[in-house]
This record gives sequence, C-alpha cells and structure tokens, in this order.
Amino acid sequence: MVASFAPILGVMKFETEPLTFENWRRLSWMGIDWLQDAGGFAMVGLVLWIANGLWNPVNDVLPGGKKRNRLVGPGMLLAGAIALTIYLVALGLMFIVSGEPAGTKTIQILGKRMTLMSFMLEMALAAGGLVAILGFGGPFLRDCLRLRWGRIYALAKLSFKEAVRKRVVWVFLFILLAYLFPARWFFQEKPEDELKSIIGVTVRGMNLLLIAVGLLLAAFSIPNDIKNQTIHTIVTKPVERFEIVLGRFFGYLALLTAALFGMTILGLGLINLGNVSEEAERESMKARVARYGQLEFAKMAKQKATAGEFTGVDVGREDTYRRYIAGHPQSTQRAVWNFNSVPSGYEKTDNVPLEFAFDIYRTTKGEEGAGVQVTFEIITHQWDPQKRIPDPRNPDVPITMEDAYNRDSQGLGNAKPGDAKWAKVDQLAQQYGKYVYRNWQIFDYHTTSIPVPSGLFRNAAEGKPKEDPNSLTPGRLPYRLQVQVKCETPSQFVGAARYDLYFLESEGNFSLNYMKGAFGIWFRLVIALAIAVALSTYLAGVLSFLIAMFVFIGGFFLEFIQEMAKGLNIGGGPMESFARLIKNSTATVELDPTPTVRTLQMFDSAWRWGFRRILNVIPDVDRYGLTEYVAQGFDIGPDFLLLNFITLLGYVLPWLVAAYYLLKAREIAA
Amino acid sequence: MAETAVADRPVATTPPIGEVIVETRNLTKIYRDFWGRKKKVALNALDLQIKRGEIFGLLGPNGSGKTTTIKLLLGLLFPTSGEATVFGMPAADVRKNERIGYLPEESYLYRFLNAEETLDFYGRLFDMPPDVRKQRAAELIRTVGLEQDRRRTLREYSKGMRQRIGLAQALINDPEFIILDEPTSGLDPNGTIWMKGLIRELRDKGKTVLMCSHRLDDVQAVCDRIAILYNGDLQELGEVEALVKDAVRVEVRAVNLRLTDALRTDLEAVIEKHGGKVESYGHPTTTLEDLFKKVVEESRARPGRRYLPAVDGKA
Repeated sequence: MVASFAPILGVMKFETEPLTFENWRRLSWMGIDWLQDAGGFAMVGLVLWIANGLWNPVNDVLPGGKKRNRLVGPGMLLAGAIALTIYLVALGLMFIVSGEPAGTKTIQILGKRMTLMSFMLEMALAAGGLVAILGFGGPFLRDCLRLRWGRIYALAKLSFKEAVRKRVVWVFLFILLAYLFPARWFFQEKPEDELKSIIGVTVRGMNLLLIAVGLLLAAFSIPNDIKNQTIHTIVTKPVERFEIVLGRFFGYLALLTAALFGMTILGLGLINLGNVSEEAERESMKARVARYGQLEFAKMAKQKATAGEFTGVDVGREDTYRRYIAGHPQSTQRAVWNFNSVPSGYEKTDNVPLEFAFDIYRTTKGEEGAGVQVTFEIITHQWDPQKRIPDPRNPDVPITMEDAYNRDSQGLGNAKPGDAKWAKVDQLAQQYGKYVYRNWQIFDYHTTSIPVPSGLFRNAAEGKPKEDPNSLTPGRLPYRLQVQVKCETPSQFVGAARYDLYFLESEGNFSLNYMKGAFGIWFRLVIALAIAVALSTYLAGVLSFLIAMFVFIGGFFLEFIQEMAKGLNIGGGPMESFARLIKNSTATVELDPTPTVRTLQMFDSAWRWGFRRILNVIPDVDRYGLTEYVAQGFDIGPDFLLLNFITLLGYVLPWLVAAYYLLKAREIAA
Repeated sequence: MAETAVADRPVATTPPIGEVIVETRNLTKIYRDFWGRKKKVALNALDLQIKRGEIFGLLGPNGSGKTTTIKLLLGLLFPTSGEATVFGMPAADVRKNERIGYLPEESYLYRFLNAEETLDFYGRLFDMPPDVRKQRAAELIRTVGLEQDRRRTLREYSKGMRQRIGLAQALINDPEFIILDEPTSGLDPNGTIWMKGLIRELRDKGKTVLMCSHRLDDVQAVCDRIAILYNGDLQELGEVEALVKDAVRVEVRAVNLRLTDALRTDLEAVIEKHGGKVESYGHPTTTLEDLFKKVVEESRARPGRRYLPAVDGKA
C-alpha cells in the first residue's frame, strides 16, 4: 500500500522488490517456493479427489466387461503414494531441523545461508510438491490435449456479446469522470507531482471499474448459465467442461482488455494534449532506464567503507522504508550503493548521469531556500587508496593511489561535461577508478543528477572484481562500481533507500511506457477473472463475487495479512484484540498472562495456523502496480514484464486447475 | 417392481432388430441432501435398450424419472450406481455428444442472440467449418419456419418459436440420435402437427429418437416403443401398438347407418351368438386434431371462409 502514496512523496518506492533475470538466485527460490506452495495445494486436492473417486466411482465398462474408474487412475494413485512418502520424509527432516543446535554449520545455496538439513527439507517439500502437481495435474494436462480453440473462441465470443448486449460496456464511461474533474481541483501538490497525481487517480479509477466489472461478470456467468439451464445446451455438445471455463475467462478478458485499451489511449491523449505542467513534464514525463545498485550503510575507516553494525540511523519516522545518515564534514556515515555491472551506453558518450532523490530529515531549520550538501564518491573495484603505484613525476619513489589521485585532481572541482577540464576529469577517472563530486545541494525528494565521466566505467569494466570482505549483504556479488554518499551539512540527516539512486542508462518513450504500464492493470484483471471464474464453477454467483473480491482486495494488504498470520503484528490475533477492546487496553501494552488471556492467545495461535494455510491463496496484486513506474517516469523493461507474466501464470494456473476439477466433478443438472 | 410389471405384461414384446444405441444397466439415481442422506430415489435399477432407427417414448407422471433418465444419458447427472452407455461410450464421455442432438424441455437458449447467431454458435461448438455452418443454419431456419424472424433476438420470440429454434439447434450437427424432452410443449396445434411430422421424418431418415412427453396422444402418434416409469421404476416397456391393443374387445365401424333400436337388437343377437357382449353403441367422434387440421386446410383453400352461426341462432 505504501507504493500508492509514492506520488505524494514524489519518488519511486518499491513495496515488492522488482524481478530481474539478473537475480536468478531469487528466481530459483521463487520457483522452489511455488513448487512447495502449489504442490501442497495439489496434494490436498489429490487426496480429496482420490477419496471422492473411490467413494463415488464413475465407471467405464471396457470391451472385456471389466470396469475402470474414470475418476481415479493408477497413475494418480501412484503419484499420490510417492508424494505422501516424500512428505513423510519431509516431516522427519522437519523434526531433525527443529532439533538442530544454534551453531550448526551452514552452507550458502542459491544466495541463502542454511544448514544442510534445512536445505534437504526445502528440497523434499519441493519434490513432494512436484510429484503431487504431476499426479493432480496429470488428468488436467491429458484433457487439455482435447481442448479445441474453435469451441473456446465460440464461448468467449458468446461471453463478449453477452456483456456488450447487456450494455455492461457503458459502465466504463464512468472513467470520464476522472478526467472531467482533475485531481488538482481536490489536492494541493507541487507542480512537478501533477502528472503523478493524474496517473494515480485515473489508474485507480481504471482499476476500480475494470476489476469490479470483471469480478461481477465472471462470478455470475457460470452460475447464471446453470440457473437458467442454458449450460444444458452447451455441455450436451462435444464441449469439454474446461472449455466453458476458458471461454468465459477469455471472453471477459477480451472485453476488459478492449476497455482497458480504450481507457489507456484516452488517458494518454489527455496527458499529451498539454494538460500537464512543464515541471511535471520535466520530472515525470520520461521513461528512465535505470541501473540500480545494492544499498548498504557503512562507516568510513581508513578511507574505506567498512562493514559493521551500522545499518543507517532510524530517525523515528513511522515509515521505515528509508534509513538515514548524519550530516557533518567529519561524518563517517555513508550510504553506499554497490553495482556489480556497469551501465550500458557509456562507450557512446562522455558521461552517464547519476540520478537521485533523497529524503531530508532536518533537526534544525537550516538556511532559508537552501538544501543540504551532499558529496558523492564513486570508485571502481580497481581503486585501492593504499596501493603503491609508480609516480610518473618521480619514478623512483612509489606513491599511494590516494595521494596520486588527490594531487592530480587538484583544481578540477566539480567540472561538467563540455568544460575544458572535463577531459582531464575523464582521464583521471579512467586512470585511478575514482571520481568525486563535492557539495551538491539536494532538496527534499527532488530528483536531480550529476554527470559521471565515462572513463570511470571503462576502468570499472576492466578486470575481475575481487570478493569484497566489507559486504554487509550475504551473497552479494563483488562490486565493479561503488557510490558513497556523504551528507556534509551538520545537524541534517539524509534518508536513502535502494531505489533512490541509480545510473540513468537511457530514456525511453513516455507514451510507450504508459502503454506498458497498463499491463499491470491487465495482470490484475487476469487474476480477478481467474479467481472469480474458478469460484463460480462451484459456488453461487453472489458467493463467488464476494469471496473473489475479498481474496483480491486481500492482495493489497498482503504484508499486513502476512504479519497477522505470523503473529508479528502489534496487538495480537482477533481474540486477543477483542480482549483488548473489552479491557480498554492499548495494542502496545503487554497483557497479563492470566488463564483467560492465555486461552485466548491459544485460540489465536490456532487461528494463525489456519490463516497461514490460506495465505498463499491471496494474490500479491501490489506486485503488478506497474503504473507507479510510469507515474515516476521509469521505464518498464520487457524482461520485467515477462517475469511478472510468469509469476502471474504461477498464480493463475492453480486456480484454473481447481476450476477444471470443480466443474468436472459437478452435476450440472442437480 | 420392474419384474412384476414384466410378469403382468399382456403381450410379450421384442425390440426391433438393430444396433443398440442406448443401453442402461441397473441405472440408479438417488438424490441426497447436504449430509449425504437419501432424499429421493429418482430412478431405480433401469434396464433399457434403444435401437437404431426407432422412436422411443418415455412416459410417466411428474417425478417419475423421465427427465432424470435423459439427464443421465446426457451426462448432466452422474449415476449413483449402474451404467449408461450411448453409442457404446459411457454417458459421461463428451465425445458421444458429436452424434447427439438434444432439445431440452424449455428452450434454454441465449436470448440476446438471434436465430442465425444461435445456430452459428452451436455449430461452432461442433467445430463445423464456417461455410458448412452457414449453409446448415440457413437450411434449419427454413425447416423450422423461422426465415422471417431469423434476425430477431430470441427474447422477442414466442414460446413456440423458441421451441422451433431449440429444435434447430438440436439438429445442427445432423445427429444420429436425438433426445427430445417435451418437444410439443408450447407449440400451437399446427406446430404440434408439424413437430410430429418432423419426428417421423427423422425416423424415416434412419435417425433414432428418444422423446418424453406428458401428451400421450403425441407419444402414441409417433412412438414405436415406449417405457412407462412411475416413481423411478420401470412399469411397462414395449411396442406402442402391442401395448395399447385390446385383445378381448372388437370394434366395428360402418358407414351409411343410423343407430336404431332394430339395429341394436340385431347386433346384440349376433354378438351373443358368438359369445360376446355389447358394452356400448354410439356414433364415433373425430379427434380435435383432425377437426383442427380440416378447418385450417379449408381456410387455406378458401380464403374468406369464416364461421357463420346456424340459422336458428345457435352456434
């Protein structure tokens, strides 16, 4: 949810870490997690299906007169048995892991540090899940081969026509209200934030309209077909039941995609027709392609950013997204960004902009109209201040790199590209692998940039970086480039988060980016439709709508729900909260461990256990807030879209498999 | 129950020779409540065979199991026990539907579509190529007499018109086996006559028809064989003619005669001489259907024909 306040704050905030192909370790773990989660559900489904199939068999009579259970085949039984065995092994491993002493030797696997037994447990759960998925998904996959796109198209077209002829499409015109009453009439904002507000309001309008309509259409479609018995004329044709699910799903998706496209074009037209102030255009009407580093906080010791206990200052703000560094010319605190690759495109130009926008926490009012001074020190993996190198001026006496650089860079100041001194700055950066930009004035959340000479990147690109013993982040790759930020103004603090600083590789087309941003809404639509259609195969329309809505909306509060499920929230579970209400006790006060309180907490524990089981059903819809990138002027890369699409499939597929089984097991005419 | 009925059956019947299209063995359907408790036995151990080329009628009062049988054959319901096969395939197998046409009791079609769109939609479900679909739809619209109304949405149709388009969708794939649930429901007498003619025509083309109806005269008029269900049990099964034939009564019809006392006396004497007994005399009445047909035909032949009261003022 924090991401939705980003426009007010004026900088990009990431609630969910963006996915990249570069971070393949994280992707691998996501895959393993998916196997475990989806596999767990598949196992439950498999057990229920087998029990139902054996209890209420539907037999085919084979030519020899023998009977064969249509519902439960030998493959399914075998997969169920193997998965069960693996899960039992996992249970044993769980027991072993829970008894491991604190100092047990750990190993690093795919960027995660864990004991061997923990790793075995993870793998066992994933393997059990995989077998359960194969067992449960086997009949689904086999039946998928019988699907005919012609029939799915016919059903999709029917759904599309139905919605159009029932005049559902008129609802989408309500989006015009968002444009008729511009956000600036209601909110006071900095001119540079105007575009963010326009995008924010219209995107919320689009989300609301499209998802509400999508949920309504999808939740009521199949139940209405069953109620009106129109489905009888369909299932008595050679139509696989799953084709009905897919037909409904794709039909509504096509309708809503068309509406989304129309709304996106309309929004783009209004933005491009000069409804945005110049400041806003400068700030956000861009599609920055950024190269991000990894952020650590460090204290300087002997000219090097040194790892330690320092993880940034907490200035007491409720929002803990940023940590702060204290400002003073002698301050040792640094915000350090490590880049393990160099930004592309540096060969073609003499500088690459380093863009940033920081939060400022003032302990004194400071000077009127003046910002806070910040110094940037950018070094490469080849920079070693203590290393002795031959001095060109005095070849017989070696000199430290630090001294040589300080001597050679005298009088160059904060040179800019185009200055006479820039070539020299560039040459020094390439020679030593260091570039310093001093006392740059920053303002609260205002995006600015400094030029970084291309020579520095040429230096960084050479050689192989050494393992960095100072790294605070376990598993972090050694850096090629490091940006150290120091606050120079006394009694002021500069707050930074990972995505507050980046190298600007290039700038793409805003309009194209706006269109790409609409994919985020589309991804959410797919989720909403899949949930509603799947539920509607078994439940009545109203129930399907309500449950789908709660599950979907739950996605916006996923972090809070996870905290509740893990017992990390303040104030305890529902029973404890209820007790607090009765006792008029605040959430932060520890309750006396009376027998009543302990009983209530026990109920809460049971509730949390159950809650954790259904946690994976709730979609991470915040992940698909791609329009935030557009509003902040950041390019949405194709790989990012692709990865989000893959995660979307990972979420939607189990719902569709559930829909397949629910409709298959259902007596349509009962 | 079924065994008793078989034992009481007056005339032994044998199904016509031909390939078995539908077969049920011990087919049973029990409806249960949420807790799995038995609520109603809708169909009890039904053994049935329907052979190619016959018109088979399912009769019985409401709740006797007719529609349940049809739904089980179509895979809309799953049997509690027993088996049902259609074309040798289990009833739950959707592939059998390639060769089946089904007209539900009410014409449950999408009312926002027009006749052409309806048939195009159902044609697509059979993966029919566009040109075949178009041609077949035009043909069927002509057959069911909806040419003038083919572009009107079904919500504007009368019940009879919906029944006609319902039949057209059932025939879109030129099925070998057609299941008709109350086919004459909602049709006017003309429509009923037309529907019965069409069913016979289908039989003549080698199609197999299974129909269920409350209108016994319709069933008698078109069915070759019937099964009578009551409370889920099969009570009677056989050829219509054999089942309705009354072997201990004789009916004689004569023309150019008036029923006089002398005629009665003579007839009684002759019948008594042969060991029989007269039950009743009378002038036969025609059926309403025949009367209606006659009136409509005359109206067509003589435009302007209208009802005139009798000379004495009585109708």
